[in-house]
Amino acid sequence: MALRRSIIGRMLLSAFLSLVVSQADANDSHPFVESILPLLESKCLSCHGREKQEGGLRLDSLAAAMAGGDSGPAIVPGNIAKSLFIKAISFRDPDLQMPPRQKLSDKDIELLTNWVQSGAAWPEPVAVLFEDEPQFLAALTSGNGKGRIIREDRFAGKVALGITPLQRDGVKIPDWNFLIREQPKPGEHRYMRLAWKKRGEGSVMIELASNGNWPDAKVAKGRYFAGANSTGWSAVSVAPVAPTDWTVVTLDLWKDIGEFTLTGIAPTCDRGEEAFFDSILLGPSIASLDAYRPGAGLPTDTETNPIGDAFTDKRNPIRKIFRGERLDLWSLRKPDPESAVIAARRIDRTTDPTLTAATGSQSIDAFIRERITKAGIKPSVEADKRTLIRRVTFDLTGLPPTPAEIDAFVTDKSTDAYDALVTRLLNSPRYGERQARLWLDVVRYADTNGYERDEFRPLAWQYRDYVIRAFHQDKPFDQFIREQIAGDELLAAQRKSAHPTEKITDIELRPQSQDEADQLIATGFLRLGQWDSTAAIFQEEVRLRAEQMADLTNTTASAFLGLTISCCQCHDHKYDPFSQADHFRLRSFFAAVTPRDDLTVSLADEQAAIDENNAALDRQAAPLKAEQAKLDKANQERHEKLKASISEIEGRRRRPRFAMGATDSGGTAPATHIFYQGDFGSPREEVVPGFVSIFTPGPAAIEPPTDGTTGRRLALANWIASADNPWTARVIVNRVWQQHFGTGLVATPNDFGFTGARPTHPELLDWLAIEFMQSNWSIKQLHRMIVLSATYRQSSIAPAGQAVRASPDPDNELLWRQNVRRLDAETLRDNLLAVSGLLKPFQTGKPVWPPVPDELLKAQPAILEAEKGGDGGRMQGWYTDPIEQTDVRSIFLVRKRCLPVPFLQAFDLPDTTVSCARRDTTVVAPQALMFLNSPEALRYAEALADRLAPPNEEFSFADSDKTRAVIQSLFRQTLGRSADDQELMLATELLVRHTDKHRQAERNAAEHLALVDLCRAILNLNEFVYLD
Amino acid sequence: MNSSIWTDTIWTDTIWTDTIWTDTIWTDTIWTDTIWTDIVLNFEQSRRDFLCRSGGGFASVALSALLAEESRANQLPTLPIDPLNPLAERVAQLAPRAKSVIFLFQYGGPSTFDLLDYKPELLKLNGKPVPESLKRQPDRVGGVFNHCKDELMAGPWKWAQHGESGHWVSELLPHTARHIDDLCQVRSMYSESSNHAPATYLMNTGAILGGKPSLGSWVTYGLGSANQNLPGYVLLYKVGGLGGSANWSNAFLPAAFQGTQFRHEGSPVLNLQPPASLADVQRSTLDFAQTLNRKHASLRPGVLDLDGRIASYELAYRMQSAALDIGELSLETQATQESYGLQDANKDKALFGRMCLLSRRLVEKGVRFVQLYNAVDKLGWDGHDHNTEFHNRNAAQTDQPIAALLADLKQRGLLDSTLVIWAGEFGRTPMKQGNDGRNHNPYGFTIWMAGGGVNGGKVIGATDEIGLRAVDEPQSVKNLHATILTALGLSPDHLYFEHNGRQERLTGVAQSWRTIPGVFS
Repeated sequence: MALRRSIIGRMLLSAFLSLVVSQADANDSHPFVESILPLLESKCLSCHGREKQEGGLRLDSLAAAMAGGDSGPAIVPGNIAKSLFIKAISFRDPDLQMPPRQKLSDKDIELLTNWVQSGAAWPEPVAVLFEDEPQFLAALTSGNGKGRIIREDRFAGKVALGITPLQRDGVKIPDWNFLIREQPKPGEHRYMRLAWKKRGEGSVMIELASNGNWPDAKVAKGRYFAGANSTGWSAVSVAPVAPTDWTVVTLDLWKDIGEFTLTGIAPTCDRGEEAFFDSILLGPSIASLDAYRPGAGLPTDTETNPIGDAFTDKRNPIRKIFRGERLDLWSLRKPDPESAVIAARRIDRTTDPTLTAATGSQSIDAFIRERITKAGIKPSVEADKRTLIRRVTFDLTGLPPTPAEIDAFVTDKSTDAYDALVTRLLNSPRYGERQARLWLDVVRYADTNGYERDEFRPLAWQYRDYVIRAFHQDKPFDQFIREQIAGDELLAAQRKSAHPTEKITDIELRPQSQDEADQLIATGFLRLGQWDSTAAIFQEEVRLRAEQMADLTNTTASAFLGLTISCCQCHDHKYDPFSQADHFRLRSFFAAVTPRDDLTVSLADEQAAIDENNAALDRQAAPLKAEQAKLDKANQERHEKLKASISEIEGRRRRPRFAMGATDSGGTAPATHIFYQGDFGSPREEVVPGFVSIFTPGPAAIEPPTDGTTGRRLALANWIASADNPWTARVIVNRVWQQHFGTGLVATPNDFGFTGARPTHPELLDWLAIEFMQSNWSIKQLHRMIVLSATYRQSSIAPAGQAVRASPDPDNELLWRQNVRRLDAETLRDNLLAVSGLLKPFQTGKPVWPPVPDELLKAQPAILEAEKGGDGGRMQGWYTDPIEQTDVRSIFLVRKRCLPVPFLQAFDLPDTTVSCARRDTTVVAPQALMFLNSPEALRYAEALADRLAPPNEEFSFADSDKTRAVIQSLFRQTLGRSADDQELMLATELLVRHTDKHRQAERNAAEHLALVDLCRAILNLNEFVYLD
Repeated sequence: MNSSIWTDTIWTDTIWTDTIWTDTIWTDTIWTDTIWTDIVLNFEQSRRDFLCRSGGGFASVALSALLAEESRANQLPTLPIDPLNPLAERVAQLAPRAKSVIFLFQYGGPSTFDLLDYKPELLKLNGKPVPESLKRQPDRVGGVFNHCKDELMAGPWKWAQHGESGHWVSELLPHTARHIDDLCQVRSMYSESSNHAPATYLMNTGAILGGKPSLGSWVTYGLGSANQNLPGYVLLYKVGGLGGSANWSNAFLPAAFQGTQFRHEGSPVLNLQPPASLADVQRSTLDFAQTLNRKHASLRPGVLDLDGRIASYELAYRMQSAALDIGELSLETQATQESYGLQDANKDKALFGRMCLLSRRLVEKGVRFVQLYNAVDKLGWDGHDHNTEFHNRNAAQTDQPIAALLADLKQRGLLDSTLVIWAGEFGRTPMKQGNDGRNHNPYGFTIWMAGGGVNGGKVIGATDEIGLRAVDEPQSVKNLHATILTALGLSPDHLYFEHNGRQERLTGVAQSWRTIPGVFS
């Protein structure tokens, strides 16, 4: 417990006053602390302090300064002539001039000279027993009064202590062992100072424990009070009347009590309403107490001279923590537009001297080719058109091209055929669905709460649909960021700017358009993490809140910035230049976030209809209610009838459409404290919102858009969504690149730090980031640029004669070919649905619950409870939809945290607890079992067979033309190509052989069963599951 | 943070001489030597506490230097994974004591002082309020007194001493009592949440948040599996713990290390067999697909995943018969079946007996990690009301099968190489709740281990006289995990996986754990 804080006091003989009572003035201060110390700190101590002692001199204590360095004593109190320090700063002697580079101002020289002349008063440590530590209250563990921490009315600390009758006490407070004596040595004390006041009648009192014991009740020693004491305990009166406003008392403990060890206190309220205490200090001298500025600690020069970034300002805390190292991290330097252009020009000319103005795609190729050429590797040829349309269709829409689409593209000989194809795909609604899926990974989207009950979140899907819309509309990515982090404040700011003269006391969030409604829905981002609804039952709310705040901070840092700020929860970052405070400074931007499930998103028309409906119902109900009011109580029958009618009418009321999102709890936010070693039970110093200290160590400038919100998140969102932020654009550009090549230019998309991968093509990454920002943060433009490049269009097969493993770049880091990539879980399932003809057309809205084996449902305690009706309507269960309604794209399937859809889970579905930057593509046997034997897989194979040859159709494999046609159709449908002769032969053999087997086993429709077998085999092929 | 360096003048250079930082402490071998490690750890812990408490800029510098040292000590890479055979057996990092683990998870929070941790004082205080001296409000996790009466409640069961060790066992566990000399009991465990899901996550994944790989995933990641025809990590449950799949998740570890559920009835693994109409053409279908797959792969040399997927289909095919064989309990002798209670009239006991017998058959075949969940419904040991009934029922279901498992393993010479763990997510209160119930209690509970080189008959740590709090040698779940890993020859600090820029470990920050002293001789 940090109940002690040492600061500097002053070595002065003090007046032996028993009691000193003065009016409160929080701005009382000592000239040394006010003006001398800051000067020494900023001008002298970097060379004459703890770390360095130029000329053997230290100026960090009076003793050290008096002892001096190689040339003799630096300071002789009261004698400026003998003080070398004064000689040096005056610049009179050309051989002794300090500070060496720049003379102090005349004013500063005068200040220092006067200080030495008047005795070089130098304060010494005081101990702060209580000032601003909310946890102090916990140290007072017994007594029958109630204690509370007060923020709004305090003396000078950040909080004050309020005690209702009678007292809270701690006879032995952890870490308290303060020796009180007449002539204190360092670390010992004599005087106590505190501020107190009283509300209501009676007195205010403080009792001091000596060596773990309270004073005898009959002895006044060790007990002080102001007002009329009726406690029955003897005490020393400090004032006849209890102060009603903050009053500072200074007590000479040695004189009153003698030598003892102070181990605890009991702040006491004798009758009346409440006694208040603040700024309880111990000091060796009155002067040392005078030198302490309550609540402010030591003054610094940062108020007049804000600390700059770590690159230019030595005072930057990151420089101190990491000793000036770790500043060379590549991602800290923002991409520079000019150098990007220069690099692009250089590259373009080297590759193709005839180029005057390259397209974006050509520039990409130039960057990539430069390294391939240097490595002496041949790039692959362009992939054939079938491969290309399959690749680009999957990459942009997550679905396979139909045979008709393939034919159209293959036969289109026009030069812009591919360009047109890309345009068509980017405009397809399927594009939004695919991109949204990838973003939902990054923000760890799920439809349920997680933990014990894992309740359904009935409104979460609106966020999912918002993301789909955002990508489909190509919402500028910076706007997309702002809406998710601070859509509500953005809307409030818009309202304010539209009505600047009106006083907006609360956020008027009623959206006027779908765009505005989307800004509210977007704040669902703040709600996506897990939430444990049972924590409150076991008084674990504090832990839960700490976890949620950490989760939100970490996810925001990973998703938008590629920062591993989660490492800083417990300590300064092990590798990257971020301090523990940085985590908590970012965390405090979210301190006021309040979950809301009542954000109205009905638009005007809709709302008018709702209002009209409800008004009509009111009119209908009004006479009934009137009659009810007047009705004689005896008329029970009529009463019941009226009640039933009214309730029926009420039942037809319509509610507005709500969204699941968040707003601030109001214009102020609860305090954020740094947690010692990340432990929520050990809060330490308070922090205010600030961006990473390496750039701006001071507090963030925050302007609340209205009175009803703090404006913190808007400030954060604007900082993230800024061209000045070195990470944001690079991070998203890298994610999009990864989507098209399997690996990003930075292979670790959520880690742009020292332990993350270095960019393989740093100039290209920066150039892409600049282009992206200059084209209004357009994701579609970015996709277009990448997929139109020759690099993207390469074949995945090595050029003839180029051995893969033996090449200088076997892992294809340089991209001399396309990568072979496995489809991810959802794309796999969507592909199966698409080729088997089961895929339902476009759908949005509430998630769909696919069938899951009963035993898996029964294995979940929470689901069992729900199925027995024991979940009190909390929706803990699994609500299976009819199977024909479940053949939708996988993004629309429910994402239940405690039970992922098994078919998807088998294929590396990411966990929904933390941000997922990149899907694994593990290959394991249970996947094969799932693909071969699961009811889903069989259903797809059957549907595909039905599609090729309806089961009721008479069919025989003796008809070789027809058999060949079916096989070709199957290959075209599933693999996007025709079967070759060998495949035709093998497939035909299989059909014939299996038909025989099924006949022998006396199964009906043997031919059809054989065809199902063949379909099953094809759907299991690597070629079906991997993309060239 | 106070930016003044003035405060730092109290840290004289003599305190911080380089001698404390000598390289001899930071040799690579420290973690191989348990005693030396303990010395270093204790020293490290106090130094770290000291550095952090002191707060100022200098302390932060020193801390970061300390952390940098840690990172240097951890230069082993994330373990490489062979795409063709991700579960390939690995050599243990340290000398292993055990090869396999059977974790008997006791869902719901068993009242361990009603089972193993004998509290005669509680009997004396039955019906009386909690002694004032024990009433201190818990400071970390709230709640232990909040839903309870201020009335102690002793259980109705008789106790007797057993075995050579003479440890007391309640009459709830007559069968387990016969093995008391094989059990190493830790009676001073504590958890970090008094809530089922977070505490269950903690016991299974090392984190109360969920979203981290489970113990079984870490172990199979660290050691692979000795049988390539079966999954390395098998789960057996009718009803799993609260919080669902996160309890046995591979999380960010590759899916090769996810738990596979063996079913308690029907085909032992979901989707193991094709429907009957396709069974006889399975091989032929597969042959066709593999022919095309090999041709496809031959055109794409160097794409190892393609070969890996071809191999995975062959493994799946072999698994079909291997897993079927495992599930064939009728191959066991009648006596064995009866000892596990397979024919018992108590269906729930018979079910748990099947799981216990299956787990022996699995480790016998080289499966690395088997986890059983005892619960047959949502209730488990969770006796908020009528604690006596809950404990009678759960003990009756589990006692005999567990004893049979221990006897069977021993008789087959498997107990030495199999670490058996019995643990719930927390314990229960000695105070009465509701209708003769007991509330959750994370502050002190008992777990036991057997086999795998642990000290049989040993008791480590103790709770206070009423069984409320661990007072002697309190042990965190992290320490238990470190102990389990060490038993298997895995170094807790060196078993890690790079994820989102962090070295993730089961036991969290390096050197923040201690193996439970006395578990191994």
